[in-house]
Amino acid sequence: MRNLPQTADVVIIGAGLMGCSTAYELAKRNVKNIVVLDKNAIGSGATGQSSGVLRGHYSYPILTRMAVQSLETFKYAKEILGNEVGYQPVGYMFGVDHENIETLKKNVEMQKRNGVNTRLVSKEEVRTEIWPQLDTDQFGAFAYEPEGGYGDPVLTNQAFADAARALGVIIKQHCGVKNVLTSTDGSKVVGIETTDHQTIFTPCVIVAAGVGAHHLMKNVGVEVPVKGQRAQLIYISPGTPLGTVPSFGDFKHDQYIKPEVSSGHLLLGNADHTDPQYIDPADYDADNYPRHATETAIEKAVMKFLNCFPSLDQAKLLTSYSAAYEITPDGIPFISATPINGAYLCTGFSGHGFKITPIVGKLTADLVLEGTSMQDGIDIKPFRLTRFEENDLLKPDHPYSTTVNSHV
Amino acid sequence: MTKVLVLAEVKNGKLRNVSFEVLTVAAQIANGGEIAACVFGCDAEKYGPELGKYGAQKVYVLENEELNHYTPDGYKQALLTIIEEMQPDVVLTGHTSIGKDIFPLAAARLNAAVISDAIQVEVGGSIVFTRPIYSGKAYQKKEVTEGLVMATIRPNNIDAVENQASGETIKLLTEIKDLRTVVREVVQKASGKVDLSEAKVIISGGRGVKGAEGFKTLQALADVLGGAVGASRGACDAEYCDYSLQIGQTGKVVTPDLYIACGISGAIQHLAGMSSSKVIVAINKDPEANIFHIADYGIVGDLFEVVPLLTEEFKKLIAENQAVTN
Amino acid sequence: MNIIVILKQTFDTEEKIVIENGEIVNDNAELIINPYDEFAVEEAVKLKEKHGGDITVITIGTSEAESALRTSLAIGADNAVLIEKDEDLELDENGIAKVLAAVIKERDFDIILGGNMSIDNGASQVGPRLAEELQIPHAATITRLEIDGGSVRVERDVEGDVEIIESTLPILVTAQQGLNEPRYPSLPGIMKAKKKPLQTLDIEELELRFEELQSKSRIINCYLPKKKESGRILSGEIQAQAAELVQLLRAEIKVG
Repeated sequence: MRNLPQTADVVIIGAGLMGCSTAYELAKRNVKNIVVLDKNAIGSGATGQSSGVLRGHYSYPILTRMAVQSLETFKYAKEILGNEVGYQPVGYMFGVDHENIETLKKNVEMQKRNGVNTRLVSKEEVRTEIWPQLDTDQFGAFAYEPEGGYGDPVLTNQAFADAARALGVIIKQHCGVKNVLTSTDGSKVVGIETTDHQTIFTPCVIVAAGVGAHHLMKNVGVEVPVKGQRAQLIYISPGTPLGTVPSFGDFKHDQYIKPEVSSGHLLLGNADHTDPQYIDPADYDADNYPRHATETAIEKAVMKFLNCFPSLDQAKLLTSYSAAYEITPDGIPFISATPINGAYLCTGFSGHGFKITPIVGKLTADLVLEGTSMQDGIDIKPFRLTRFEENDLLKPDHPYSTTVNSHV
Repeated sequence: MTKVLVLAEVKNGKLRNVSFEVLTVAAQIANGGEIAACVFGCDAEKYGPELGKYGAQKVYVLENEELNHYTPDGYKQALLTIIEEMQPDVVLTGHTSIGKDIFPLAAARLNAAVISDAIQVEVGGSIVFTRPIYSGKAYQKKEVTEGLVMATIRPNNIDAVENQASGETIKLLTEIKDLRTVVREVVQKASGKVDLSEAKVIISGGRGVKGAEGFKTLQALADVLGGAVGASRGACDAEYCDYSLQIGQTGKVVTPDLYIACGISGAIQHLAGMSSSKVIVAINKDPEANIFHIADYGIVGDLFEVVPLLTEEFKKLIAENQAVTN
Repeated sequence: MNIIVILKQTFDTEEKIVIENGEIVNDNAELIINPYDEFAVEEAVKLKEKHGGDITVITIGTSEAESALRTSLAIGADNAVLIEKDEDLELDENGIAKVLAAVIKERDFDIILGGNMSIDNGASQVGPRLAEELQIPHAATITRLEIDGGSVRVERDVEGDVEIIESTLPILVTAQQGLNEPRYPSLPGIMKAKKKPLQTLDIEELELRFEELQSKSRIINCYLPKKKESGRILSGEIQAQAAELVQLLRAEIKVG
């Protein structure tokens, strides 16, 4: 491995979506000597496991605005970043049970006010125009966003990395960070030490290391409440060509479905978090983590799918995936300063970070350079680390009754 | 003093090289003891001298037209006859289509163990065979603990060494009967496209290949090396080539002797499908590309420049080799 | 037609191999149906679709192997038998074939299908051994299978050439890549598989003498190949790099 620079203005730990988006934003604002380090490869952590769903549908106005502002980057990636990011505007549909019809209506109104191209669609329209095989009778109501759909997280990550490199950012892969180094009194950051005992001196470290943020910060006395949660996904062929169908957030059965335009296959994800499988950050070893879903998880996903789409009985199970993503106690990320001067957090995206990647890079850059958000209508306070001890958590205006650990 | 019997194989009227390799192993195991070979078929006797050249002191010959083609029943009767006659301590053959079929079959009859696909043999207190397991991801040392030792030796792995012996032919007669399978026809397949999963050489392309046209550049190199063309998921997604060529987590897992990755960044999903390849070469414009971390050799450069150069260089090398062997 | 498929659960092909004290550790390994056995299952389902009948899948393993049987049931097998083996009981290929023979002898069968090798042990022994134990003919590494009444016609892959073989039922065949394209389990199939019969047998309760099963071979140890030295990025003129690379590869592999 080539030697690392001995000093840097900023070191970012983690070359996933958030690390690379942040590096790009900082470089665009003329920060020099930015080094991004990753223990594996670009996008090898939670990024590589992301389903890549793009939607504006949130019950939190601030996240809605973040998704709206980010969508521009996905739509015009070629112009903005210089590369395509696999944006597929197949639409995003959101369905709820009868109990949540009113909440859905209120949220759709809120989303419209915040710039989401969305509307309520009738069951009739869903059957005739959007997804004929869906048994709509079970649902209370649907919303539809024509510009939603999905993007390719790995391509997005690569595009941010390439754009950052073009601006002079150094990205070192297979270079893990062992420790964040602080001044003797522990008050400020002075550098980092890699797992192969190289040191980079820097006044600014941004920890974008997913669940790895926990032990990196613990070593310098800061408790970051992130842990791993197991996600199990199955990949199916619908058995018959479906044409264009949208990404679908099914909050009646707590599942989500992402179509894949190139193959016609569907990815089914679980959104039922009543019985989450947590992983202690200390025990998490991505290399030895099970890669496939359990039999029980597969059966559960299959049952839900067949329940929703009874006519798709020729559907076939192609494979399954299992991954761990980092999760915070409230499902809201940390974009935050820490008690240590010069150490920042950009982690805890709790399985819904992809769609807000562009704005998160901007917010993190704002935080480092300006100490506060410079983004229109986006307050950075809700993402601070101290929100739990201050008992001041972000609340949705119109929460859905079905979501236990709200990612929406 | 160990008595070793080698089942020799004839293909297209010639003894197969693997038989000489196995005789070389036999000499190592016999350690001064008796080495015999056996060979079956109508004109089997003529192979005696050549087997002698590689160390066979005796060559058991079973001339019978029922043995011109391999059948499990025919070969089982023949091999059991020879074993009965010679009473060897060790029986060896190549891990070939015939060897891996007949040895377990005969062993089941003899209630014996077989060590399959051995690549190395150490002779000390016992005979210890080394064999690859998990498609070469690990190795196992194994020995036979009881009774007759039978083993099949992987071809092209141990160099055949000449070791002149008398090659005295011993003709045996036995009735070969009740063949329950009959060979109707053998179709020699013209070497067409090489199957990706079994290819010894794979030239693989990623998004850097930029299009279906670009894959022709890779195919030209694959053709020269008798290899196959593969692709990363990125290249398949971009419709540069068919998904059947995809190597990686959701595609095929391959372990060729030589893997040349062209314009592949080296996403972890791709590495899962090819990182056990014996020798990995990466060609990529981006010196930071992840693929260089697992490559044995890397060339930083434009694949459209490098690959045609490699094709030419390999052509030259192959022409030289042919000049030598002719 | 009574169809029996013998199959083995193996490590996922992507699994990293971990060795402790000379033995492969399989605690966290993800397990799949041996890919060659998947061809056998698929061919069995095709035979049933064409000729009717009943498919029984049989494996030897610990209770973990049940998932391989369930997957086969989801794909289209009718019954499954798990011959449960204590993890400590060492069976070599001879023992495996004898156990399978003891179980299969008790059943009606017209054809037995299996893979031509397992990707973990890679010995290719169990198929021919089992045929011999059962006193039936066999054809290995088949790429095509046709059954007409009692006669069987197969195409075998013989190191790239194709042998056309004729024989009669009952027979044992082992599958080679190219025999078919294994189907994926259908979603309703996965749900139905939960209700199909899965019988568990204990090896010790089979009528086999211990001496018959005892391994006649011993694994002394296992080890991983030497770690690759870190790679080399060539330098210089591109033309010279290409020439150098070809020379380097010439030494390492048999090219040309």
